[in-house]
Amino acid sequence: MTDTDTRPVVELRQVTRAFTRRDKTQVTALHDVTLTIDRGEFVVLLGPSGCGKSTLLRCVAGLERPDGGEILIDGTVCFRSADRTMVGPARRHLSMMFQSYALWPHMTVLENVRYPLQRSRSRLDKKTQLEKARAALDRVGVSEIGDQYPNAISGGQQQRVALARSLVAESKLMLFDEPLSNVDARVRLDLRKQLRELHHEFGFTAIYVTHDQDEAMSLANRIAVMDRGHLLQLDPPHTVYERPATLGVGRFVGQLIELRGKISGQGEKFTVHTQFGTAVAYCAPQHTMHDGDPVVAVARPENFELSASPIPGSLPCRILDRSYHGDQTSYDLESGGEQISVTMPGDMALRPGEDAHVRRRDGSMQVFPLDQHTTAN
Amino acid sequence: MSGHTRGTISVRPRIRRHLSKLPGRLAVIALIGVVAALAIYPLTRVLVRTFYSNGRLSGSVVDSIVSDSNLGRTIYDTALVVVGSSVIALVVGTALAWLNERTDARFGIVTDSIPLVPFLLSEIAGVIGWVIVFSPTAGLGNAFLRNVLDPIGIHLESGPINIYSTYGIIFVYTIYQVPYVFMIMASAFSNVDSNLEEQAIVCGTSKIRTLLTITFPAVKQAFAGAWLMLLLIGFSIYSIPAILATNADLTIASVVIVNDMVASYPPKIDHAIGLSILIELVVAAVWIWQRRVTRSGTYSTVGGKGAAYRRSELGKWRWPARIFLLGYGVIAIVPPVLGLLLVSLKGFWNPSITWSQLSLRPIIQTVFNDSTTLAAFEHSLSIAVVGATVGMILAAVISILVFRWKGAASRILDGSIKLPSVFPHIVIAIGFILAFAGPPLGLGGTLSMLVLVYLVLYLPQGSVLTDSGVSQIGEDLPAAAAVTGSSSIRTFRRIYLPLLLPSIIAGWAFLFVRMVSDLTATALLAGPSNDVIGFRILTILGNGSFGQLASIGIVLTVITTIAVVLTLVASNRSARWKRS
Repeated sequence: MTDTDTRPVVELRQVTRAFTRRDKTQVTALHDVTLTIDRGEFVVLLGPSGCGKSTLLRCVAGLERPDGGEILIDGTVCFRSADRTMVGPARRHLSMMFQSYALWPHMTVLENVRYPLQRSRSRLDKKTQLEKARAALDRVGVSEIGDQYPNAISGGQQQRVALARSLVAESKLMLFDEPLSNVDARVRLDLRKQLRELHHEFGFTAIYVTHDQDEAMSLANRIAVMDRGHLLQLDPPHTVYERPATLGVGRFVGQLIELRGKISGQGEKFTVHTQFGTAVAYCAPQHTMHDGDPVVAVARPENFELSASPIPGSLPCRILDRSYHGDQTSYDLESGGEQISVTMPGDMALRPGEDAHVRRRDGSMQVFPLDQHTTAN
Repeated sequence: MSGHTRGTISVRPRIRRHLSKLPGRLAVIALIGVVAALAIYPLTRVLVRTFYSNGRLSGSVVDSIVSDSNLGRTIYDTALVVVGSSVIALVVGTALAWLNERTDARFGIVTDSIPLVPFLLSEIAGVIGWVIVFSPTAGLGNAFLRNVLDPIGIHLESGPINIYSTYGIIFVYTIYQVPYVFMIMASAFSNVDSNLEEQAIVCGTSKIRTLLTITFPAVKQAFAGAWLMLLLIGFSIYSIPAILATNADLTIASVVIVNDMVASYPPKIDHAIGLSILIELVVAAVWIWQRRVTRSGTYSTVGGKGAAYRRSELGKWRWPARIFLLGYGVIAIVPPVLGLLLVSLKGFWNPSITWSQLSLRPIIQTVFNDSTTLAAFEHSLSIAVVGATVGMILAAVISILVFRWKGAASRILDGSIKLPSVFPHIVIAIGFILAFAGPPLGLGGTLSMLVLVYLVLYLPQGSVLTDSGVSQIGEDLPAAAAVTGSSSIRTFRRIYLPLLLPSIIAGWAFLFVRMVSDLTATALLAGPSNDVIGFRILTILGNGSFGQLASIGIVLTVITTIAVVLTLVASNRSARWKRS
């Protein structure tokens, strides 16, 4: 009993996938990806196009076959390269929601949602199947379109039908492949909210793929940041945002401000000196700091404060660009040779070309060694 | 401890799983392998026979060609007719396609389908009809024209149009080649992004220049492909020259080859193969040229996101264009059908029509009361129904497998199924004779032989249709079914089959018509023991009764028309969900 509760739902061990393009170039889609997902987690795979997140999801689904490693779902080996085990998608007992919705155009909405319940080994009779299908449609808020065909309903409604179809079989593991990419902003927020509610209500385990870091942070209880086939960080959103494992992760999630800095100190306590003063230095476990090291010190736009007139500890700066977002305004500015971005609530009515004053708010700063990875991009 | 047993897989269940999948997979692979072998083995036999005879290296094939005093004439006449008609068909077909797809001259489904109608009327019935209409002295059309010209002072003893001439043959060849061009070019034109053209017009380019420098280059690849297809088809056409060439004093290769094989005793196999190889070499040369054209430069037509589809406005040229479109249809379809109808209802052929004498009796007499002809119809129909059904199911299965099993094996499979489409039918038919007529299979003179050769000949075109259907379905729809626990069989039954039905039905119609009215392979492989319509027609042709020919022709046309109309209806009903 205890085993089933605490056993991870998904285990990926050194999953590798490489393929050769038509022009004979080798592409490594996944490099030794290892991660574990526990019951009830909502893990988001986040990264830019081509980072391997969709490939990874499809390997978990069984739609693609890795070249190396192991995949276990609910303790069962679904893929193992060592003995060429490969369980097809139909036998992995999961659900998946596709970016293209993948609603079958020749079936009505109700028939689409009913389909997963018609597995040959299912014990449900037709009446129960239809009841459950209707209930699923009801749960996502589209109960009235059951008799329509997919090409007659709107994009947002198609989304919900696809969602209902993934929910109806009550699978333990739900996979989402960028399901909200094709929807407009307002609908996206509504659907996100609904996803959170459903996750809370049903408690399924989810793997969700997106390139939108906003979406990742609002949905995930852990984010797996990927780039070019590598898993860079697997942490709760807060950690990924505040303590990125690499500069790449930091740049991808939110806006990252990079300052030149120098370390001083020794033993346990180090401080970093930048244009904007001194701060306690923190660095990721894989690096070590030494007294006198030049480093890149990172910060976020909200770590700075902008003011029209001088305030204690502020430096003069010049506004380069301004972008108004209603609840806040972000400014690009230049100060003492460093270019930074600052966000301030509301609108401070500062225009490009004007002079202002900026200071860094108190707090520690994360630093990265200054090597080839930190130059340019 | 319990955790470990869950996590490991013992060997036996895995083997059992593989074995349970084996029969299905193996059967499919075996079946496809057989079809592929059917396509490749005959061709290999022809190739081998070219250089080996009676078990040793032999130059007999080459000799027979080199010593053929008529070779020059054969080559010239054949080239004139085939290449000439293909060029005209290209021009006419492309013009029709462009007008219908890119301008506002389109007149709904009428202009969409008219150029394709000759597809559905078998060539052989059509040629008989054309002869009835434009034979110099007895032609009904000629009689009509002479009556029209007489009052205005032009008195003719025969003609004015003589179907038994070079231009006559080229004309008929062209009519039956235009549908292929139209289909290919209409599809290509419908994919040209209007934005590309409008960009040119915005830059100040005249409409004509835009047409020449933007639109046409965009469909260059389709054009080259269409020409290649026309040559392949053209060299293989037997029905038209069989009836027209002798009286036109033309020596056409396909007729020579068939005569070599069936009209000579012993069959002049060496010469037949030699000529076939010559044809194949010409086709190969054009194929290489086509590959060069498609590889060079950018010919892509899809403009990506935001590709637009707008039609040019022709203004004052709109109705002239429409008249051209509709007029072409009338000229291509009406005369032969009318000729067949009138002569079959009369029972014999002469230029005068006594309307009161027309009745269905001659048709019934010829087709239904004549046991040989009736048997031929029965054979043809059953072969065509079986062949088309088996063919399209195979095509669907193969297209799905090829789409899903990426890798060399499936590509080879696909290639070998489609290989016969790059060889003239006449070559394949000879291959079948060499490969299967004698021991060990001894299929010579059987209906099964005909079904097999028709399958091999026409499966490629069917599979092109299902290929397109399968790629339109895409990967996600079947994947979505798979993740819900749907087995492969279930996914095929509930997802692929319903969505492929339009392609399968369209392919069925095509295969049925082609199989019921095939003449080239039939001329070589059919005989009294496996009598089919084509062979019956050739036999009667030898006896010269055009009344009987017309009756058979009109019944054949009715059959193919019904088949096509039924499939259109079925296709419409199978895609009800598209219109909701």
